[in-house]
Parts: sequence; C-alpha cells; structure tokens
Amino acid sequence: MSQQSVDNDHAYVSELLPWRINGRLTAEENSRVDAHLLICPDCRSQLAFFSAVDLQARAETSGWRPSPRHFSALMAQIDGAEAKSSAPAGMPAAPELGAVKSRLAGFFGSLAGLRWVAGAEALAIALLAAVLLHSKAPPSSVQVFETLSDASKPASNASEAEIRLLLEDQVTVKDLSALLREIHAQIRQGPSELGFFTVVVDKSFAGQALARLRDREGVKLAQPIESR
Amino acid sequence: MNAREHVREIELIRQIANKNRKAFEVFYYLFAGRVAAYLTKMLAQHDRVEEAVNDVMLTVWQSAERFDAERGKVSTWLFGIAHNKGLKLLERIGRRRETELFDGAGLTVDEDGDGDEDSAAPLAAARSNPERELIGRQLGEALSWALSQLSLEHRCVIELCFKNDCSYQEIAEIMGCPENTVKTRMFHARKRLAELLQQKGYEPV
Repeated sequence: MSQQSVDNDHAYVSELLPWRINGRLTAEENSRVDAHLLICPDCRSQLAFFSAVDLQARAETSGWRPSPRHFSALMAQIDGAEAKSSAPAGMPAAPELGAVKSRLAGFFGSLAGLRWVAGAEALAIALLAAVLLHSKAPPSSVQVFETLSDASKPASNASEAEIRLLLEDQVTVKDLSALLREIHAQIRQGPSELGFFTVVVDKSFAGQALARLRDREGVKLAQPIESR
Repeated sequence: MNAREHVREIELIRQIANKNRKAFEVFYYLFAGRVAAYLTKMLAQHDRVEEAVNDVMLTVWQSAERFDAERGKVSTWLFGIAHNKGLKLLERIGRRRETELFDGAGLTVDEDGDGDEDSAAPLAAARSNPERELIGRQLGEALSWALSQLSLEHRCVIELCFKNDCSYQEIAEIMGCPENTVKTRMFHARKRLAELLQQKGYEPV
C-alpha cells in the first residue's frame, strides 16, 4: 500500500470513527475502517476518545420524562389548536376572540355568544354540562385552595374533573384567583402556548363550576376534559 | 432498528395521520423521552423542554400524513422536526450560540498523530482498569463539562450520533446540511472537546 493510499485512508477513516462506534456504517465502510485501525495508532487513539464521548453522552439524561400528565397537557393543547382550526369559515380563530368580543360586547356577554365562539364544540359541551348538572349540591369535602397553583396537589383521580379554560386577555391574576376560589378549583396546567388553562374541580361540582364559568365575563371558553 | 420495528413505526404514523389518539399516545411514549433528551442538549437548558417537546408532538399530530416512508425512518423525520423546533425556540429566547465563535478559534491540539498510543491514556485507563475508577469519574465530569461547552451544531452532531445512533446521512437530513458538513462538524467537535479536556489536565487526543 502506498503512502498516499495510507494517507487517503487515514483521512477517510478518521471521519467515520464516530459511526464505527454507533454501528451505523455499511459493511464495506466497517471493513475499511477496521483494516486501517490495525495500522494506525492515531485512529485507535481517536476511537478511544470517541468511545469515551459515547459512554458519557449515553450516561447523561435530560431529567424530563414523559408522563400521563404531560400527555394530557399535550392533548389539551392539540384540542385547543383543533378547536381553533375547526371554527366555521368566516369565524375568528380562538386567539382573536378577545378583539371580536370587545367589538360585540353585548352579544358576547351572553352564554349564547360563548357558544357561538366555541363553534361546532358547543353542542357537545352543552350535552356534557347537562349530564354533569345532575349533581347539583356542592361537595362537602371540597378542598379550599390557598394558592393559584399547589405543587403538592396529587395527580388526577376519579373524584376530580378537569376543565379547559380560556380567558380574556384583560383578566388579571387577582380575577382568576377569585374565580378559582369561587368554584373551588385549582390550576393543574397552563397557560399553554394558546392560553389554555387546565383546572381541576371536584367531580360532583363540575357541572356547577362549568355553568358559573360560562356565565362569567372574561371567560372565553370553559369546556370539560374527558377523562382518559 | 430492525425491519419489524421500522414497519411498526410507519404503521403508527399512518394511524396518527388518521387521528388515532391511542396510536399517538403510543408514539408519544416511544419517542418523547428521546426528543426531550435531544432538545435538552440543543437548548442547553431544562425549563423550556416540555414546551418544545409538545411543539414537536403537535407537529407530528398535525402533519403525520406528510411523512414519506420512502425517504427515511420515522425517527429521522421526527428529529428533523425537533431540530427545527429547537432552532426556532433558540432564536425566540435569544440563547443561540454561534458555531463560528468556536470553529477554528484557538484549536491548538496536536493533530499530527505521532504514533504515541498513550496519548489517550486517561480515557483508555478509565475504561479498562477498575483501580482507576476515580480517574474515570473525574474524566466523566470533565467530559460532561466539555460537552456542555460545545457550540450548538457540535452538540447536535454528538447527541444525534452517540445518543440516538443516527448515521451521518440521517444527521445530515435532520440538520438540513450536506453529509460532509456533518463529518466536518464532528471533526471540529472532537478538536474542541480535546482542547477543553486539555484545560482540565487531560492529554490532547
């Protein structure tokens, strides 16, 4: 083998060494790399280096793990995006609803207006709300929440119901805090990129909570989230 | 990945394109962790990772029908989305570090290959001799630090190659650059790592 050939092989092989380690070279590339490694201490040294990098890269973790809670939040985001995109032709998309509402304040102040905003989802919401409204009495064991978000709150369980909530831009943290206290709710997630909150209430109180939310000014959308 | 897994992933994407939420949930648990790990390295921070992962998965849900199985693997398509989302997020939060800041700057490591097999002695020793576990731990810490100091492009090629077992062709597709650029970035990443390790007292490679 000529010196030029060896040099060419060195340049070629040294570029491929990382992929020799992760096993993603072709059989032909592997053969050429392995043959060169036998005669080239520099490439063997580089191989050892990349091997250490490989071990370290694999050992490092992001600290973030997917979970049912994360997936639920994602689905809420997707539902929000789809609600926005499925609004009837000529209707404003969800993020622009605030502006429309201010122009048509009288109409939008009514529950009918909110349903118009929700477009095709309104019927489903009304039906679900009607079912939930069968349980009228507020629960005696409803937790009193002191803060807007409480990290110690346990994960969702069968006695809880989640509500997707979208608010007007002008709603303040103080308003939101008062609203959540009134309906005995707590923020579980949000605001999402599209401005949605996921709030949790006692399941037996969900119907009343939904009704109260929908009657309040500043609430663009209040919609039950189906439990998975 | 074997052929059966490849077919299964393509089938998952087909079902997601048909808005099958169960299939999407399966896909999410198969890939969200890996996407998060990649985006964590890319963004060099943790607090925007969930947002970025959701953004990627939202795109998968919305554009699964555009996946072309003849063009490559599902994971290549997915990491291409993740890479682009990561770049956009970095631009948005103003934390993107320029590769040029590092490329060719002060790279003084001897690259001539003098035949000294001991040049990677700390690395080799750490892996082969149990009595030198302490050295191994110290090297691991130094390497971890060095990896975190790499530029965005260098971090991406390292992460895609070693953590995600991507071929250089796949990395080129994910990062939207020629294959030779991938190799060049890997070359410079190694040089930069060697320089950083040298600062920590390890011999240059």
